[in-house]
Amino acid sequence: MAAIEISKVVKTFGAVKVLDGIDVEVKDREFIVLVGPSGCGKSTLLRMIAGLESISGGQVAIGGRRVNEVGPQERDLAMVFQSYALYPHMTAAENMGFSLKLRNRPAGEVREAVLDAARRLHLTALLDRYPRQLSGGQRQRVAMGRAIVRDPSAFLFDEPLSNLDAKLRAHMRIEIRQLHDALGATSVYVTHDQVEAMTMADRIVVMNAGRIEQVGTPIELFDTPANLFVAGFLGAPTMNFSGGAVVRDDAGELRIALQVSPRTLPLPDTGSLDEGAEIVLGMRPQHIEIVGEDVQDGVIDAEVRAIEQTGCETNLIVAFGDVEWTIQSHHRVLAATGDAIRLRLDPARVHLFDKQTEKRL
Amino acid sequence: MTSKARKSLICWGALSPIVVVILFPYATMLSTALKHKDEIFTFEQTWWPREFYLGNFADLLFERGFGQAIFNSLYISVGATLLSSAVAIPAAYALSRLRMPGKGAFRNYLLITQMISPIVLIIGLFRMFAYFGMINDPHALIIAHSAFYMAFAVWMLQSYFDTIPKDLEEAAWLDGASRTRAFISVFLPLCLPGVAVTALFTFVNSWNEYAMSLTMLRDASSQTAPVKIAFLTGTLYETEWNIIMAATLMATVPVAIIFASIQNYLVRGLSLGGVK
Amino acid sequence: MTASTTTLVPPSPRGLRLSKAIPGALLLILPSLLLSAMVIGYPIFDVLRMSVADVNRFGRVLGFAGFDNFLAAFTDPIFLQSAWQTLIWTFCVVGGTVLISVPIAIILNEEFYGRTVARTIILLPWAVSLAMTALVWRFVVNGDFGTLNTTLSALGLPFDNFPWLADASTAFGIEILVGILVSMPFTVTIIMGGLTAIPDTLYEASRMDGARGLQGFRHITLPLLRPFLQIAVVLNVIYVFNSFPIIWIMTNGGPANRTDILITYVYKQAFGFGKLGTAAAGSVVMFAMLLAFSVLYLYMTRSREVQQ
Repeated sequence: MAAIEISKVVKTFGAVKVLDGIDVEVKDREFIVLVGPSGCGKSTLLRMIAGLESISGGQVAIGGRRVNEVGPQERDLAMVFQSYALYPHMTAAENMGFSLKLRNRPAGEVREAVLDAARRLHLTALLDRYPRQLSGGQRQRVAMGRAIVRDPSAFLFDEPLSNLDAKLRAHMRIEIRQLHDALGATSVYVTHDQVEAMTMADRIVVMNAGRIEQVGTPIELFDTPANLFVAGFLGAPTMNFSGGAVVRDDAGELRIALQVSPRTLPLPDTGSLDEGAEIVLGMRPQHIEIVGEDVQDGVIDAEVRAIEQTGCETNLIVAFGDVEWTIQSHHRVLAATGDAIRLRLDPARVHLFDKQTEKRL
Repeated sequence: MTSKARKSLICWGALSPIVVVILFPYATMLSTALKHKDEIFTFEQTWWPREFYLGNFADLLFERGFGQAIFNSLYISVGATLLSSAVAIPAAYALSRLRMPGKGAFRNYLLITQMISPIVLIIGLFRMFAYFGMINDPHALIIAHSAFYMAFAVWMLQSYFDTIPKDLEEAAWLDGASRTRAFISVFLPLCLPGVAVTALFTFVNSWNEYAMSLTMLRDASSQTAPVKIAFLTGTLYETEWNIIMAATLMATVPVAIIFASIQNYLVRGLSLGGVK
Repeated sequence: MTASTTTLVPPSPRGLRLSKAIPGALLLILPSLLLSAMVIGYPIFDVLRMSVADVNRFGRVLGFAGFDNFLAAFTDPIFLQSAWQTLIWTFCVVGGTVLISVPIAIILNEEFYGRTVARTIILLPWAVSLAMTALVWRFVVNGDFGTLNTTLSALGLPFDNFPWLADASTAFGIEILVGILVSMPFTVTIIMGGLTAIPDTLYEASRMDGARGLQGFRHITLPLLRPFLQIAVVLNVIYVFNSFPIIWIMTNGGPANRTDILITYVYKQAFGFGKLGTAAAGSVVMFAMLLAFSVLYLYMTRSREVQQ
């Protein structure tokens, strides 16, 4: 297994710049997830690592070796495609053994390696079937088997679970991660599903419009998103936002005034904010508390617009002014549409962003 | 009666007039080809031959050199199929798989060549091949047929190639296969049906071509089957329809069988991309 | 992801750079370009050159003739008559073909017993050489021994020895019918391709919206079939305009040039009368007309792509 260094990588299609100066270092044995909305360039980056797209600028190195000019055949990488890309005219076993056959390994050795991979993936009974005789989940496993049958420098995954149903997807998430650990592999995994990113990654690379927004562990990204984009991208339901400004109250203290709420909120200790600073306040739906009339400080009065009961939790859609927020509570909330409701924001969990730069304050 | 059976009756009923018109000439061919010459030129015409007479076929093959014409047609059609496949497969692969400048221009160029009838150019073609001393030479027709049927072959092949996911070749490259190896081990086995259908289609077109063959092959011994048959009507004192129908039957039935066997693929190929 | 649908870079096996792979792609299309440039390109040039040259009957260019050849063609009443007959021929054959092909394609697109057999029969005329089809029909409608008259007489109709091809209008009519018959399979194939592209859910949705009887056909089938019909019309116009064997074999343009079309006129000028210059000028006129159609075709496919 090997580390992958991506430095100052640029990709242009004609006049269009798809990737603009990407720097990522994938450490040996690390599981890196590239995540972002569709069109952000994550698949292009993966295909450039694989050697399927040319590199317009910068450098990709695998195990310390520059591979910009090396074809995909010589990069010693294994890839699991979104479509699985199983050879339709070969059986599952032939699909898995193809790469070893190309390397002129003896037939006995190929069979052993295929059987070994098949045992790991519970495919032993299906080895003689053709791809068209397999279910979607089984095809996905054969594609995995094809990748693990040889011992590549790294695994590349291009949205490998997007064609599976939700239950199977949850199961395969765990299985892929366990496989990664068992093999001591280096993996680069592309997805648009933030749950996959959060649950599988050692580190997540959040991409948007051809640039990297933030790199970090799932918890770092969730707790301290570097900017509005990352804050809004990770977490479900998505983070609530409202514009506001820093004001000085009668007691001479700095507080936050939200545009559409008459009450002010205490300012968390960021140290750098001055009176008049324009900010965006972000609040995760899970961190908003529903309080009674007796609580007076740091609250917002809102009206209930809709209620969703999922059984274990309650989602409330509330509105104040023209702002709509979602609140998630693990308690059963007995409220009806149109009810007035008072919300308290935990100052320790408030995220503040600069309105101009959209960066975290 | 089930609703599908009733529907089938309605469908066949609606199609019956055109089915009759299509099959009428075949019935004529068969009936006439099996009749003795004397039976044709009577005023008491019947559909059913008085006796099944196979002498027309023997006469054609042994007396009139129709075997030679069939051989000429076969030689030209096979040659044209091979040559047009040889140039169309790489072109279709490039159009389907490679990024290159001027792809759209090349496609439009093919389109325009398809719209120019060989007959509009027949004088120029004749003079060009005459200049090379290739009048009466079957190779002239192999070249001409390949050039005119190539565009259609490129379209059909490209639309077929497009249905083979690029992922498969990419997966092969990552498995360590060279570009050539991936082409041979992965791409070729998958596109073989498309190549076969396209080749058969070219074969049928070349086999049936009339105007270029008529113009380029002036010598009786070099004529193709359709030209030979047409000549049988004009050169004789009295038109021997029994012989002509026997010849038509021989030249038509094998090709019709080939065509019937590929027509399903043809419908699919055309709806995939041929008319794009 | 849009990136996965972009065209592939050809990764070369031994680590060659991309820029070296582009000539490789051109190398792949070069044989086809060369072949068609020689067989189609050169004759175009030659015909254009001869159309403005003084050419003797053996093809020797004697000098520049300006527009004399075109003048000779346009002052020949048979040329003008052939041009007029070409328009009638093309219009009737293409119109008739499209009119019968749409219902046939719709029927063949239904599920019914023996559909495969029906499809095979309907597409059969495509498999047969136009020359042979024309020849067989010439015998079928033969006045004295033809099976058509035999059959009609047997049905008690007064067509004993009726000479179908001796009269210009019945001859042209029969040729047009044969033209429709041989153009139909290709057209049906294109329209069937269009029909299979229409999802059944659209008809279900239209029924839910209250469409009855033929309204589904009028509001769903026809509009969605339109691009396919346009292409069928234009391709047929080109094929039929150029169609040579049917008329050549059935009537040779006769009687008295009343069934000549431009293509048979040109062929007679060149290979019958040795007037190569006039024939070349006629070819150029035809070529110009076809070019207009080609441009129309490209324009129509372009606008379709824009719509999509």
